[in-house]
This record gives sequence, C-alpha cells and structure tokens, in this order.
Amino acid sequence: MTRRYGFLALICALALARALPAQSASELATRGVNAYQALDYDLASTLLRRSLGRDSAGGSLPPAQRARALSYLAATELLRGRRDSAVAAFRALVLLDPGYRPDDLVFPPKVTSLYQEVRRETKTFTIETPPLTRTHGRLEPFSTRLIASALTDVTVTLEREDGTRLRTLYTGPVADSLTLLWDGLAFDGAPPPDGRYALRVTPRAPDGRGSRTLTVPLDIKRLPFDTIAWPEQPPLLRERTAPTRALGALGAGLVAGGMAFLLPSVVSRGTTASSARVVVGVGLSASAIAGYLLRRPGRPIASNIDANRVKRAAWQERVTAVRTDNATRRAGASLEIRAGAVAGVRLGDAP
Amino acid sequence: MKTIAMLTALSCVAGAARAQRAGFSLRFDAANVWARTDAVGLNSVLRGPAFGGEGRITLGRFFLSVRYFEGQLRLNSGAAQEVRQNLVDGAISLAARPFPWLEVSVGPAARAYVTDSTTERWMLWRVRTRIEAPLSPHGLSSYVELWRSFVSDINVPAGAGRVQGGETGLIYRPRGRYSLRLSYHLDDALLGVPGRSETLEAVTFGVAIEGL
Repeated sequence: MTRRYGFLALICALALARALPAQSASELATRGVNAYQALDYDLASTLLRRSLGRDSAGGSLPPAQRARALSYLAATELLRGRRDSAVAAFRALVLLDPGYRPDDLVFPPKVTSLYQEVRRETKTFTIETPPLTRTHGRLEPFSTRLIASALTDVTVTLEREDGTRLRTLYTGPVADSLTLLWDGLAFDGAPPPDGRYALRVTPRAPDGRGSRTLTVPLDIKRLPFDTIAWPEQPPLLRERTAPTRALGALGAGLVAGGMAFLLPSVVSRGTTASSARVVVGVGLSASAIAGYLLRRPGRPIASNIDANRVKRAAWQERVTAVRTDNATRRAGASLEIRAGAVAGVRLGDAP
Repeated sequence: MKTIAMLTALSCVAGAARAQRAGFSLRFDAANVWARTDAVGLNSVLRGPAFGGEGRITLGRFFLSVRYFEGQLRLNSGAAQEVRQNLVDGAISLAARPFPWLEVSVGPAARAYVTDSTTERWMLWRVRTRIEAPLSPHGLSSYVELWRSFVSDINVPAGAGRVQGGETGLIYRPRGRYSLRLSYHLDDALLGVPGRSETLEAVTFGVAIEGL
C-alpha cells in the first residue's frame, strides 16, 4: 500500500515537473510583452529570449505563443537599434509559420515593413494537411493548403513509398497560399490501392538553385462506397374518372329524384300529392344524368393530369440528380487518408 | 327523459365548441305550401306561399340549428267566402354528422295553423336522418331525409298518432360561400280523430350563406 502511494506521488511529481517549465516560459513571454508595452526594451528582450528557450530551463512555448514571442522580440530588437537581431527573430518567425502576420495595430510600420522584407527574402513554405480525411471523389475531395512566404514555383505530387509518381496535383506559382484538391484518383483514373504514400512539394527557386522537397506521409485506405437510393415515385392522382364514382352519383341522384315521386306513398300512405314534386324529381334525375355524363368512366381529369405532370417532372429531376450523383460516387472511391507530420523548408539551405 | 337527452346533446356540442372554432350559416327559403286535411266526408287543400329561414351553428361534426317558417294559406274552392289559414312552423335541432354523407338530428318542433276562430297547435319531438351524395364534381349534390316524431301532441282535435315526414332535394354549391337549394317536403300526421290525417307539402327554393 505504501509503495503504491509512493509510486503515485512520483508520477504526480514528474507531471508537475513537466508542467512547470512550460508555465514558466509562458509567464516569461507574458512579462516580456508587458515590458515591451512599458517601453522597457532591455527587460523585454531578456524575458522574451528566456521564454523562447535560450535562457530558460528547457521549457518550450506552444507554436502560437512562440510566434507571438518572436514577433515581440523582433520588434523589441528593432526598437533597441539591433536590426540584425530583429531580422534573425523575424526569420525564425517566418520559418516557424510562413503565413504569420504581425498585427498592424500593435506594431509600428517600421516593424511590420521589416517583417515583410524578411518574409520575402526568407523563401519558405509549409503545407497544412488535416490529420484524418475521409474523401469521396469530386464530391468530397482531399484538401490540403500550401502556404508560401514569398512567390514560389512548386510542383505538388502524390507518390508511392518507392518514389513512383501517382499523380501530379499542381505545378505553378504560389504567391501566398493555395488550396489543393485531390479527387482520390491516380493517373489511370482509378483510386490507388491501400498503402503508404507521400505528398511531395518540390519548390523551384527563381534563380534555378536546387531545392528540398517537403514530404507529407499519407496512409491511404479504401472505404466501401455507398450509392444513394432511387427516390420513390410520388403518389399520383387518378387521371381518368373511375366508374364507381360516376355510377354512384347517378344512383344517388336517381334515388333522390325517385324519392320526390315516392315520398307520398312512403310517408302518408298514398295521399294524393301535388304535382309540384315532379319539378324537384325531374330536376334531381336530370342532375344525376348530367353528373354521370360529367364523371363518365374513363374521362380525363385535366386538373389531376396537370398536377401529376408537375409531380412526375419533379420526380424525374430527382432521379436524374441521383443518377449523376451515383455515377460520380462510382467514379470516385471513398478513401480514408491519414497524414503524418510536415515541416517547412528554406530554399537557400539547399546543398 | 327529453331534458336528459337535450342536456347530453348540449354537453357534446359544448365539448366540440371548446375543441374547435364555431362556424355560422344562414338560409333564406321561399316555398309554395299545400296543407291537406283528409277526414271522413271532408277533403280540403289550402295552399299559399311561405317564407322563412334557418340559422345553423357548426361545431366540428355537430350542428345546432333553428328554423322558422311562416305563410298564409287559402282554400282554393271558388266559394264566395274565402277560407284563410296562417301557418307558423319552427324547430330547433341538434345534429351530428358521423360521416360526411350522413347527418342525424333530434329536437323539438312546433307548428300552428291559425284561423280567425281557432288555433291548432302541434308540439313534436322528432328524430331525423339525412343522407347526402355528390352528383357532379362542380358542387351539385342531392339529399334525402326522413324523420319521425317520438313524442307528439296536437290540441285540436286533442291527441295525435304517428307524425312523420321526409324531404328530398338538390343543392348547388358553387365556389364561394353561397349555395342554392331546391327541395320537396312532405309530412303527414294521423290525428286523434280516427280516419283523419293532415299532410303538409312544400316545394322550397333556398339561398344559403355559409361560413359567416
């Protein structure tokens, strides 16, 4: 029992020991930003450098806080008159996050313009790929975003593990960022078999120097595809008059007309009734015959035909849409793509 | 018993009124009426125009209707002294429509034949069944109704036997709130005096306004 508690205490102590330096780096960064805002640039520089890990005891900042600390450090160094240090900090920032933009409302123009200058000179790019994507042909393609610090010509390819090219996704310039879509098909128009692949981004420097490729490992697995069921045919109205209704109307009218003649016999045991009832009786019988003729069996019902035409057209449209959708689904397979870690690359570092 | 039946019917209507919105309709009737008296050694027919109407409150499948009818009848015998008789007829009924084609109603009805010397009063409780069927898809329909009294009382001559009647007609409901009706009505009463009966016939034209 005592050994168990001791083991638990050791785990807690280790966890705390890991948390403390991170918290410490974060606090240092916050204090550094406060010092910058208080115009105490010397203190700000010291604190920000320590927070970035140069002087701290091994703690490191998360990427977003690191980028913020670097931007304040660069601004601090520039305002201290140390342009080279500012350029170095900005370069580190561009390499960390090529798409980063210092806030124009926080930093003076000379800081932001220096950042833009460094960003243009530090040719780097990165690629943002979701860790897990389920794709389905052109309907739900695989999407990845290429972010470049400066105008860069790139070729993006999908390759097998052995380097065999499967598909070229893009060739051309990237000015700032570019979203690439892949429909899940190889050169031959078929989806690739399950396996490990790589998404390679190869930059070509304007001066023709060599380049490093950026590689994102991809685990691709086929998923069974599913098609949409055909829409059910809508219930349609009767387009021709039914015999039962016409005969029913005729019968009802003739019975009612007959009642006008028979009522004296039925109700008053044959009392001599007035002949005025004949008017009603004949009127009812004539209406019954007219009703039968209007509803005679097999007669087209125009209003129902029109209503059915609209329903059929709408249904046909849905069928066509499903047919097209299913054709697209059949052409593009469903894939599950798991992406590995990526890193930026600087052209100037090429051997 | 009558009171219990009426209270039960009224409670049904009140229940329906709570659940549904009430509708109201009015009908104006003009009729030609024949009142025939048959007795041993006496057969007379008085005829004349009559006018009236009916108001109806609709509560879902239930109806409450009030009808009033009045006319002046004359004996068409060619005699020097003309016989005149005023006819006043009224009824209240509670109706239910369990199916669109079937209506059943119950309620009291009163009738008076008024002459210069006497007034013959009828007081009836009657049950009525009505069946309606469409004739054409353009709003034309026919109906037949039959009724019979289960309690009847006539003052002159005292007492009454069975009193029953019927009606058949044609209703035209064009699109809108108005409808037209042409009907033939006949009722017959066996009076207290053996061998004597009174029959009332009417051919009626009516205009109704619905959904007020």
